[in-house]
Amino acid sequence: MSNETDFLQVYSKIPGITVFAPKPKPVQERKAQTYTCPQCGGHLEYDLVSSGLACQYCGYTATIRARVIGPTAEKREFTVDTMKVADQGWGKLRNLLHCHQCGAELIYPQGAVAASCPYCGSNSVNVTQSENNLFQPEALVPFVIKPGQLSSYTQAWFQNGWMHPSTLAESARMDKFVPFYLPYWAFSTRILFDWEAEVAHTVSERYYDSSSKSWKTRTRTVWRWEDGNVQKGYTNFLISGVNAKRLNPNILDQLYPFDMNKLVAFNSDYLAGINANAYDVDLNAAWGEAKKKIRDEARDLAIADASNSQVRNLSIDMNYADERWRYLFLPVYIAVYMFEQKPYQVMVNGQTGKVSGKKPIDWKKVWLAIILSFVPGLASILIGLPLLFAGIGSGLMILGAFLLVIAGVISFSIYTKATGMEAL
Amino acid sequence: MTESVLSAAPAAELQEELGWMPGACVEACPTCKRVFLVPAAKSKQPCPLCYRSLLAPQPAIVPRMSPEIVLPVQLKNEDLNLGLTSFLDKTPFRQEDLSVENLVNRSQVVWWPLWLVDADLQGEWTGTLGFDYQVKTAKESYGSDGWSTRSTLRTQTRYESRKGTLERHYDDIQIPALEAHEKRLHQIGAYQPSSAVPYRVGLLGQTIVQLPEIEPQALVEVAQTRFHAAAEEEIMQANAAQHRQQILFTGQYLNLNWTKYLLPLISTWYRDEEGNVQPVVINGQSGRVYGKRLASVSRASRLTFGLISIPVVVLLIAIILSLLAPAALPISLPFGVGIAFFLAILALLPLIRAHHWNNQQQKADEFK
Repeated sequence: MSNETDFLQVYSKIPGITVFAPKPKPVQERKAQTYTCPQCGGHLEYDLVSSGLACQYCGYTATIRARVIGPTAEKREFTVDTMKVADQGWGKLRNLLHCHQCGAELIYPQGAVAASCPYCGSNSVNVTQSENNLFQPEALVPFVIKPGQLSSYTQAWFQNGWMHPSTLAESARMDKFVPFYLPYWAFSTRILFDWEAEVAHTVSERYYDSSSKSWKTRTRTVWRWEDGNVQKGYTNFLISGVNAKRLNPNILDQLYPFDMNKLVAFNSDYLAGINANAYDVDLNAAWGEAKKKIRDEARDLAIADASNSQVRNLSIDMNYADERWRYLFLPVYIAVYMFEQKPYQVMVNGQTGKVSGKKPIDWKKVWLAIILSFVPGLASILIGLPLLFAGIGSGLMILGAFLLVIAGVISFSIYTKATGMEAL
Repeated sequence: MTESVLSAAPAAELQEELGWMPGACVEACPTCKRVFLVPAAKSKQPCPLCYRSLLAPQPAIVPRMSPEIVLPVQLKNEDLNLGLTSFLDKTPFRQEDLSVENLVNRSQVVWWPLWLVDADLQGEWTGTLGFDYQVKTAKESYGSDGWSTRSTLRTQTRYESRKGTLERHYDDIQIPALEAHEKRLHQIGAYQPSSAVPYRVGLLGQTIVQLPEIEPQALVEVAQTRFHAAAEEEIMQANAAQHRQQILFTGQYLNLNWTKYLLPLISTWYRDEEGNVQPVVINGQSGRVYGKRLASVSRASRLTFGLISIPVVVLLIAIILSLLAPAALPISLPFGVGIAFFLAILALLPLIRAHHWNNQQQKADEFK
């Protein structure tokens, strides 16, 4: 047989017929790796400024061989075997590490992927491993935003918005931003569904008004059955693999999007000296979360597909096709700042610089804005009321009522936004 | 064909090339050109398949290669009667000579040939094979109670390249020996080979055997295609694959051994109104019948002439009534003429039906 090196003989069910199948890709066990400087023996770590490995002591630098895989990064299917493994979770975790630098035996928190030795400060990667390589990250998006850029991004973010204390930008005591690789599940699928609903249609009709003895026109709502089918594709639908108790999911959601065309094949060099944790939301739970979001969107899509957005008795039958998943690491800077003795979490997208976080609300400003929004309407009514007795204020009264309605809408919007930001 | 049947065939007979049907001679039909091995008692009789000419001796042709296996006639007399009755049942105005009794009395067994070839295949194969696997998916429904989810499994196919070697012996691969093999099977239906028996001298009695039209030398490519198909099936089984995109085999076909396989046919005939002999053939295993069953136009004409007298009488009555009562003339005459015209058209139906039936029958292909 030619090219026998690429093929491996496998079991044949018929004697006299030999079968050779392509050799499976070699599974590289990700052994714990300690980064030491070849020049001075110091600690090597990933340098966010030069995007390479650098020694903090002697200035030695090494470039990282980045293999950009972008959209071609391997996607896996929800095969029965995969899901069985996913159900078992991490399996036996290994979180015991022998530090090659100082010889210490270290126990790391479960799920930690990269960590530093507390005795000698050396950086290690792949300190925790699952039994199954299926759930090792295959790709990551490297940090693009340099630490020096973070203060300008956060300053701009602090100054954005009027609902927050005026002194926020100056008084907030910001901790150092810590770079993190966060675990993410990226899902791709197509949904195909049929919907059926009663859709409201407004019809005009003429009728005879016996009281005024004249013909008039009125409108009424007629419900008509409609149906349709909708298809939509999702690519890289991201669900965080971090437990919501550890990182605020609402803040994480606001960090999107990440440019997945810049995905690189997993290389432990990127993690040297950078915090990284494995997922604690497993594949099943993450896919369930993604499907919940997709379902909500499907309902909106069905309503949008109808000839009118007012529908009732909506029913949908939906199927998924081409479901795939990937397990990725995405770059995020995380910090906490203190304002008036209270801590607030803030994160920066390590690829785009987009800032997301919690900002305190200055309720005095909010209530003042709400009160001010009612002033034009009230003023109009107050002026119009005495004029009404003179028989000329009806116009102002109507204007006042109209302005009060607008003020009500604006106030509701301001209040909702403020409470939403506070609850973030 | 099972290996046990093959091994039961006496080796001496398999090797025999001449005299495998003692006393028989080779004759051919000058009209349809088919060649037969005919027992002496049936020599120079009309062609047993087309019945258009008498068989003529062909001393130059030697019937090579003894049959290896024979599929015996499995049709009992009652099955034959039943099959022919049902075949003739729907024929309108059946011709006088076209009766079950005549067809049964004139029936004779004719064997027709298939080549059987054995070979050893040795070589390498490469292919792209498909393997089924299951993925977990979900079907979601939204209604008045909100969303409900049902987990299901979906079967998908993964195609992978495979290669290997093949060293296998294939027995009794069937190769057509007649030009019209497929057409004939289409006309009289397929045979189930499970009840075939090894050939022995005397097994065929005083019956006629049709000889192959295509010699093995011309069938090597066809045989290779069939061997390739058999090998493909086994390669699929060896791989436990469910699908294939393509499988290529490069190697040798060794020890090719050609023998014959005889299938039974029952041939009979009837003479139509114009004096032509119409053949009818029956699958000797399943009893499926094929042939043209023509309607009798003369019987249909006689019925039409009988029926046409009715409108004539009606017309005469109408004329007489008109003459007897001139006052009723404007009603009785047109009414009588209308009825007579309508009945006259109805009277033509038997003739039209017989002509239409025969036209349909004539469109059917000749037996191949």
